[in-house]
Amino acid sequence: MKKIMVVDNEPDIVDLTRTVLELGGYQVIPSYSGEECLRKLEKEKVDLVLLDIMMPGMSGWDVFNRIKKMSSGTKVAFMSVLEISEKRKKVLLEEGLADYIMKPFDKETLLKRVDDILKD
Amino acid sequence: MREEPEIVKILRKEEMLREKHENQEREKKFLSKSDTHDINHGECKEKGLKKNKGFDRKHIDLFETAVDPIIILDKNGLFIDINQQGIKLLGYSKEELVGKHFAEVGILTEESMNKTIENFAKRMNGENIPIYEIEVVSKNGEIIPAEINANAIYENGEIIGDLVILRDIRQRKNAEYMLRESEERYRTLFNNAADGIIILDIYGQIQSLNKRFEEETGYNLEELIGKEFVTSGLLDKENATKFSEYIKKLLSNTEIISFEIECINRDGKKIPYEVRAAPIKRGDKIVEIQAIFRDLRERRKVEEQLVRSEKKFRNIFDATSDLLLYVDIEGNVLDVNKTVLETLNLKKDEIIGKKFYELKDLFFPDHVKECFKDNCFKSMRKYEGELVTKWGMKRRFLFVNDFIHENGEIKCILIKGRDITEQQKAWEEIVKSEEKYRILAETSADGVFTTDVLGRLTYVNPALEKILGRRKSQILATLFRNYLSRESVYLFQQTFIEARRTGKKIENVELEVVHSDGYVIPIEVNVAPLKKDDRFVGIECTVRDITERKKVERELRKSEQLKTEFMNIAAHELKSPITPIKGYLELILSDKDASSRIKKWAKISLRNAKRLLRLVNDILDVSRLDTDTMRFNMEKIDPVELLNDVVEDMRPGAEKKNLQFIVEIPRDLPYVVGDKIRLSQVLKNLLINAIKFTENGYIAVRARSEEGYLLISVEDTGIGISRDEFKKIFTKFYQAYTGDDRRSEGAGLGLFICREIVKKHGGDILVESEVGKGSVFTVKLPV
Repeated sequence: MKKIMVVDNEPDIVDLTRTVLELGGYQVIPSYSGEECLRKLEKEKVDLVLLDIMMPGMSGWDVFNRIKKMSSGTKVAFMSVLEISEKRKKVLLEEGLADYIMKPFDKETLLKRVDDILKD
Repeated sequence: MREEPEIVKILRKEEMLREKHENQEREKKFLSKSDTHDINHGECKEKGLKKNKGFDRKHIDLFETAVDPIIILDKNGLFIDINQQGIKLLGYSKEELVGKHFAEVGILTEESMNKTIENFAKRMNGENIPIYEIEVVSKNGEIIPAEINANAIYENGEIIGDLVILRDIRQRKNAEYMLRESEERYRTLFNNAADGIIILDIYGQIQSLNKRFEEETGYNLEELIGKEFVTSGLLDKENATKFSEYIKKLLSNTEIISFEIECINRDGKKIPYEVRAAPIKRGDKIVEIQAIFRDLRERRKVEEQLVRSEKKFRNIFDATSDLLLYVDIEGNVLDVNKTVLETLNLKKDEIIGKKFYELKDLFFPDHVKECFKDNCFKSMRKYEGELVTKWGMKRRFLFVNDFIHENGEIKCILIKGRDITEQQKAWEEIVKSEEKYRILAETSADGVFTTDVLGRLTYVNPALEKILGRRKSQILATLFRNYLSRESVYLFQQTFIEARRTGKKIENVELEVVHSDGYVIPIEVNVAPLKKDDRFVGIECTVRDITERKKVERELRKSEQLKTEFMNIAAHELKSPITPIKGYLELILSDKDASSRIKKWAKISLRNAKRLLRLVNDILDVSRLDTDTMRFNMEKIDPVELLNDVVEDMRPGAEKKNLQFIVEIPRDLPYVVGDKIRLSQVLKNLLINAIKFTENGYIAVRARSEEGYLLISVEDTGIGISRDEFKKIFTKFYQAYTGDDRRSEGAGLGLFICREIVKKHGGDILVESEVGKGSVFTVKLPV
């Protein structure tokens, strides 16, 4: 079973995402801040990190850059309410980001996108 | 006892020789008359010649004191001796010549060489050669014509050498040449003269006549030569008598005389002539008479022309707008042109004879009058005066004196007066404006400086001194770029070069100067090239301290950042709660354990959550547009691709309502620059509206390019919009009235957002509509 870490400072969103993903057959490790995420990643290897951007303390950007440096093969996708331009998105994908998922998401979309990321 | 020095021995010998020579004075005299002859007869001996570098004393003396250069050669042509005159003429010393052959020392021109060698050989064979001319070349290269009188030297009936006497004939040659030239000149003059000329002997017989005379009379030289002029048929009786009388007169007082007569030419036509007759003398005796015939008809023509040209001159004189006055050296007016009369409103007789500086209404500075009174007008070339015109206007004039000379003396003065009132005014304006400019520059809050062609400061104002923190005296004549930050030097240099190249002003160049205290001041400069007579001589620059502006700009940027950040937080905070609401409602709807009643409630909740999300998005967009924090990521967009994406997204919505969906998008639409997401948002919004308000008929999406714009229209056959609503639909929170049931939901922000987004792209949204028939919304984007 593939492991996904969901990172958001809003517990309700973490719970919702976790519920949806578990329905899709994934194992979910919740995390409520950037710092917590990095701490947990040191101990546990996951396949994908779904990362909120705007969080108190470490932002999603910071966390993404730290995970990249770990070179552990862990994939990262942002989940955010922020709209970003196509250009910016392209740059991020080139930098190693797996996807950029807009919030609010609907169940089907989320599962499809995650399935696509972890397909191979 | 000491032996006598060699030189003394020679002198003693010389003295002895002289005594001997004096005894033979008579002989010497004889010799001087015909020196060559004596030598010819072998009175000198070759041995003696060689031994004493001479021969007998008498010969030595003769040899050295001769007026002409003398050269002695042996029978082989080698130099034995040359006298002082010879040395002087040829410029070679005796040592340079003695022992050498005459042909090898370079004293002969190429042309003279053969002749000389030939003649020498003949003489050595005993032939007598008459005097001949050659050209010799002196050491300094001068070619000298010489006459050679040479004879063989005999001893015991045997030829032992050659005595050559040269005569410098340069002067004679010159004289000959000049004579020839003068004759030629005369001949040319005679033949080409514009007047007819005849030469008569003292008996009045024609000796010669020139071409012109032949042409004018129609007779030629052969016909007339030897004939008596008065009976030659050229003169009628009356004129013949007249001519004879004048010639008699001429012969008696030998003065040049002139008179008028009429000649009859070959065609019988009478031509009036002015004759100038002059005697040609040889010594004191008159030998011939030269008579020059000037055709008076020509002169009359010229006289007429002269009159005409004077008239022409008078016209110019009168027509010029300058004042022209001829005055004598005392300042009395001799003549004036019309301009003077008209300007002063005087008649000619009121002016002529008066002192020009005392004329009514004409005012000169005192020194002008003094100059004319003191007769030192020569020093007066230019001066200004004032004039009151007949209209009572004061005009300023610049006067220039031209002195007219006759026989080396100033005869009269032409005074030219030019109205310089306007010029003066313009000049005063310039001075005034320069003064104004100076005051402006000195008191300006902005720095002002000028430079020379190399960029060295030639002027700085107090404000610039303050900006640079340096005194004028410290920085004048230094390069302005010395006070710029390292980063600014290049830009300033480029600007300087550009201003020089284009001759145009360059504005708003941002640079940095380094204050003498070491801190950097941001400045904005305007650079204008300075020109003098159309030549670039430097730049003029205004310098504005933009520290404050930069601060404000920084703060503005900061505040922009803050605003954007606020909007992001607002978006995050508003949307975040909706995420779980919407998410869980969807989960309930898909949950198999949930009852249908619960699912119905969840469905209503979800619909409203979605509506809330749309509202939040709209409000965020409006806020971003209002605070100018909406970010546009402008890029080149292929409109075909964009429209196809939008159309495919919207097609299901239209089909769901059973509306016909017409798409007319040509393949070759021009690219536009814009934000893809935002433009697609606009088009979707328009299509959503079209679908929403249309129950039957069709929805059409069309695109075309026209006059630099891309036009995308969305047409529907919906409820339509009344004319008075056209403007209102684009305002915030406007909602179309769609009947009592008010089916439409939304805050009425969509079209406002759409139009604002399109406006940010430099375009607009146009609307055409008719109530009950439908609407066309057209997005107009610049290509």
